[in-house]
Amino acid sequence: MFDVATMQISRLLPEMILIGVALAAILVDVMLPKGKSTRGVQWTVIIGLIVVLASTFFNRENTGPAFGGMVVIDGFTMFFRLVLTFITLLIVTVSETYLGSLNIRIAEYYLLLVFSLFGMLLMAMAQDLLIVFLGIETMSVCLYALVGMSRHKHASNEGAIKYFLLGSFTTAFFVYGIALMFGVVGSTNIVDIMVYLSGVSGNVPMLAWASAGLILVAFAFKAALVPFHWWSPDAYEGAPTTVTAFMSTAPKAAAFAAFLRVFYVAFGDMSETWTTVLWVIAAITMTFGNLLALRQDSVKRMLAFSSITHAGYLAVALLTFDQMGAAAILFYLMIYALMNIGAFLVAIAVNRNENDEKGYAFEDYRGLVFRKPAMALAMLVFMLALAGIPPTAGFFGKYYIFSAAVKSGFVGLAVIGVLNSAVSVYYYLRLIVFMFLKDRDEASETPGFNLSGEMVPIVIFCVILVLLIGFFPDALLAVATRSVTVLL
Amino acid sequence: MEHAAEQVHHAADTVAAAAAHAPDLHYAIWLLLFPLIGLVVNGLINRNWPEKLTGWFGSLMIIGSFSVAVSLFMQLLKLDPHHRAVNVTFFNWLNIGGLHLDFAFLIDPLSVVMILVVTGISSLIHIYSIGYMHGDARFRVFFTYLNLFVFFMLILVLGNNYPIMFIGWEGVGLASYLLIGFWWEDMSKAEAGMKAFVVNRIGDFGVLIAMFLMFSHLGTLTFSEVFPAAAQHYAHDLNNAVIVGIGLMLLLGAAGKSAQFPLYVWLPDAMAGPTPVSALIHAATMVTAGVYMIARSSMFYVLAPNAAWVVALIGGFTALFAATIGLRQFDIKKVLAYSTVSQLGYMVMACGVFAFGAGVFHLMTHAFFKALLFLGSGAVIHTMHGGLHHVNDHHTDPQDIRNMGGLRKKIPVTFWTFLLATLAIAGIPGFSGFFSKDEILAYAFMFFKGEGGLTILPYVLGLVAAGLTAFYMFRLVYLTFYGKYKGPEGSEEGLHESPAVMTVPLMILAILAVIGGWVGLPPVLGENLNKMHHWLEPVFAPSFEAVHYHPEHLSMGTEWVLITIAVLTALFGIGLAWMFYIKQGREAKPDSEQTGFAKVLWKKYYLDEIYNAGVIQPLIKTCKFFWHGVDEKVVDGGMVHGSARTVRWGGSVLRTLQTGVVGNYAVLLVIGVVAILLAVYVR
Repeated sequence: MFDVATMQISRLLPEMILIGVALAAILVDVMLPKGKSTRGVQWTVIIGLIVVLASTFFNRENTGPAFGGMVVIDGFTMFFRLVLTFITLLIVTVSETYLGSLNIRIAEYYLLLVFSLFGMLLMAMAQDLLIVFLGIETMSVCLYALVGMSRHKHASNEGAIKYFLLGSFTTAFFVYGIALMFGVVGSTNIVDIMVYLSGVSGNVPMLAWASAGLILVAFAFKAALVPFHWWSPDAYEGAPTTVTAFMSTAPKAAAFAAFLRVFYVAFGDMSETWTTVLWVIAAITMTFGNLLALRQDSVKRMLAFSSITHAGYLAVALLTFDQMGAAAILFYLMIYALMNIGAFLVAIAVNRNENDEKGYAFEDYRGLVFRKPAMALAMLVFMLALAGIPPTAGFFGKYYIFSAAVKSGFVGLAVIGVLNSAVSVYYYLRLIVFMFLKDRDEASETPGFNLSGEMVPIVIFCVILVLLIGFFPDALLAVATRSVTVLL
Repeated sequence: MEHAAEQVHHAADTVAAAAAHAPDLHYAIWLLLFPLIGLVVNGLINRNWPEKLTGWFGSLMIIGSFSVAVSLFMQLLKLDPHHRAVNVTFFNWLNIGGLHLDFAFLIDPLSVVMILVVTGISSLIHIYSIGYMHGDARFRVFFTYLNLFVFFMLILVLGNNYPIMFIGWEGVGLASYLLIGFWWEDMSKAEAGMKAFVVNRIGDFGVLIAMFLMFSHLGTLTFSEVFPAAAQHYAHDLNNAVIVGIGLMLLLGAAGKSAQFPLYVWLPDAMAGPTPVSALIHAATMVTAGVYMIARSSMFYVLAPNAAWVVALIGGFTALFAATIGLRQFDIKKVLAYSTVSQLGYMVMACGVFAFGAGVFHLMTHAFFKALLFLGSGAVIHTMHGGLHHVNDHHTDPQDIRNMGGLRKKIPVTFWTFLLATLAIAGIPGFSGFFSKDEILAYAFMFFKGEGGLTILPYVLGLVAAGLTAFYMFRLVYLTFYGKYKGPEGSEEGLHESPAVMTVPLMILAILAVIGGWVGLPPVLGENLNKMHHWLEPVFAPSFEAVHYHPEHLSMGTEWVLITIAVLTALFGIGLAWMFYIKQGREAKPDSEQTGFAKVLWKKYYLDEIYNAGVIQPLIKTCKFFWHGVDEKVVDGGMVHGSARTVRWGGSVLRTLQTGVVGNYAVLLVIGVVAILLAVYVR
């Protein structure tokens, strides 16, 4: 039916390389002796992902639809390709030693990360609801397995099961939504839907509304927006911490990418209805995540709940339905990845006992600044950034989001958002306080800090970027702004 | 409208002309580089330097900044008064979506006053700290934090746009928080630092919203552009909701930073930090940032008189309210803390009655005498420590004035300098505080003369607060330095004057506390003697011109009457204190014997308790509700023992499913879906 030229397969070169990397990694795993194979797989994937980044960069002029319009490679896709691959690269780089400490040093971990990355890339480039679906499922199946990676810990299994069941449940809504839309429009292509809906503007059939509502639920679930977030605390807590760091950043970014594409392009003409629904979702998401994070005594749980709050901030920008808001989302996703991954890495390093129920306690941070000043300063930067305090990148992230909201007339929501970010300072600050407290018994307690060699450069890298973007945010914002022009 | 546009052009011309004539002031970056060097060297490079070297190095860096500030002042003096606003651009910082911001300084009379005060007082306090912090294990860290503070404070006052100011604003908050918590050993002490930080965030929220409003309605955040733009759009539309909103939101920010009612609660608690920190940050510099911001934003307030009226009322009320609490405190630093809140109220009130110049003038004189009072109290505490240490007493509170008395003879330098500062704050003619306070009261009265009716309130509040100030300050002096020594037996021998590194800064500040006000002599003494007023005039003139505001003039006679009333009020307060504590020899009662209204004052109107019961506990309960109520009972409700974590892996997958935990999740999810579909249906 299609000849190869019209499929424009060369535009998907990075994705093809990615699949090649996964296959190569499987071979490496088989060929190397048992003990050394995971290291080999890790390096294969690291090099492979760097090649993917490079091929994205050198292939950046080759834009346009591919596979007969099922997917589209444009500036928006490029942005997410780079960000998602970059996040995966960070996580792959820091995982090996940590997995060793959990006794789950298995090659499949890396393969699952690569395959879920593939699913996320599909979500970012999809121009057809079915491809969005395909992407979501490819990503999610890998994530279910990753959450349950620590097979010996029941929390890990429990998180995986809950995530899996609820995820499947939501998938049903999504499929139903696609089916309804097909019934109305006669196509699942995003451009076709847009054309149809703008043709009947003012008189959109009820089924299309219902369809959009169901699709909204699926995205809200993947982005962990209240009230569809129920799976996230358990999954985040149960998963190995590197997976938590991954899940709270990359899949969230991918979900927002698909969210933006579908709602800004396909349902752009219905935007006024969505603002009310999203307004409520954003407001309760920010508040709910905060209230729960306030009460946590575990840093891991605190970061997990606060990631719900951050998704709420992103939802604020989402409902502006303009370029400034969309650009703010891209900007925030990037810097949130940096500061959150950085914070999780320090948390891994400080944690005294991975298999203990009381792991990741705030109490472990007591006097950290005197024992491990560099580590404490890095955590200070991440906490200030998450709290949105200048001159870190976190400040500008929030600044752009809320000023976009005010500019679009959502002053009330911006006020709720800024107040929430004021409340969030409390729990981020609490960690800082612990770090600056005098140690109870400085000599006796020197826990085994396991900030492994591979983590140090990544943490330093995150600190530098968080500060650098904090001082010079406009370069990244300019890229983000250029990337979203295709949506509007 | 045309007229306003003309003014904008005029303002733009002025800026352009200033740029043409302006000397190259790029060396102003050294203001920041000096403390930055101190910060890096003491923070990272310095490992085992001797105390003296560390301390003097940190101090010299600030003295370096001070000399740059003096030089900038000289440069401005050379310029024509109307061209004294120089934008020094270092690089293009942000350039996005219509928002163009430079990393640039605005060197003008207002910022120069601020940098002189900040670097000058900081230099003295750095030197003082060499003596005060002697022997502390974290001496080096202390100086690092101090330099960090000065660095951010200078960014705050130098920035030529709101975002740069805001970076400094947050930075000083962070430094102050680190310094308050300098002696943290457990969570309870750390709470004071947290309270300061969190309360300040409520204020910051105001500043952020104000910036959003400015950007969305005026399209810029640079001082030299946003004020003319505001004048152009709103000069004929006074009290427009946007400008009132900006004004009130900025006031919220100022209330947080400058400890105005009802956000003042953090400042008294912040006194848990070392005394030099209280003097520098919580009296002389950082807390005045809010006043600086309001004065800097004078355009918004003249365009929104309603917002300015709120500013005046909040300021006046804070001045009176905090002064009444100060009447009944026994901790020497707490008295000074409430006194600071009260004096900040004066400055804010001044801005509210459009006396921006007078507010900044009081900011300066207050920096002199309040820094001196705090450093003096530090010297007293230092001395008391010595005495108590002498008899190995670790229970007596060295800060409680009920344990002092008669220290006059023991520590004469501290006493005399403290007394001079007290005379200044009480408003005795000739001392610095008198001139600035008098100017504020005169303006408040002028404001009343122009507006009539209830606008007498700021004047009355200010006057009563002045009387109370005189009373509680002399009460403090009498109980501390006069009468009989009330400390533990034998500790008297251990009382000694502090070393020269501490007393010399006291003496320098004492000189400033006396003569610092002479740059702003009132009109009754002669025309054009108020140099301060003329110096600052070009900063505020565009605001007044935009709305053609001309304050009512007071006749010589009225001026004299006002001065007489103010002086009599102060003397009455002092006289009352003298009668109570010297003539009748009253002693302050111990905690258990506090009764009646005196107890209410001593307990600070129970406001901490009310805040706790009304705000903090409900918040905790809400969290508990969400945590225990929603998350555990509803979500995990079906679980054995109510917690998912207690179930062992054995049968838990099945049990998790069958007892309905996931089912609950799913039900909640479906409710969400239904809600969304309903919302769409009824849209």
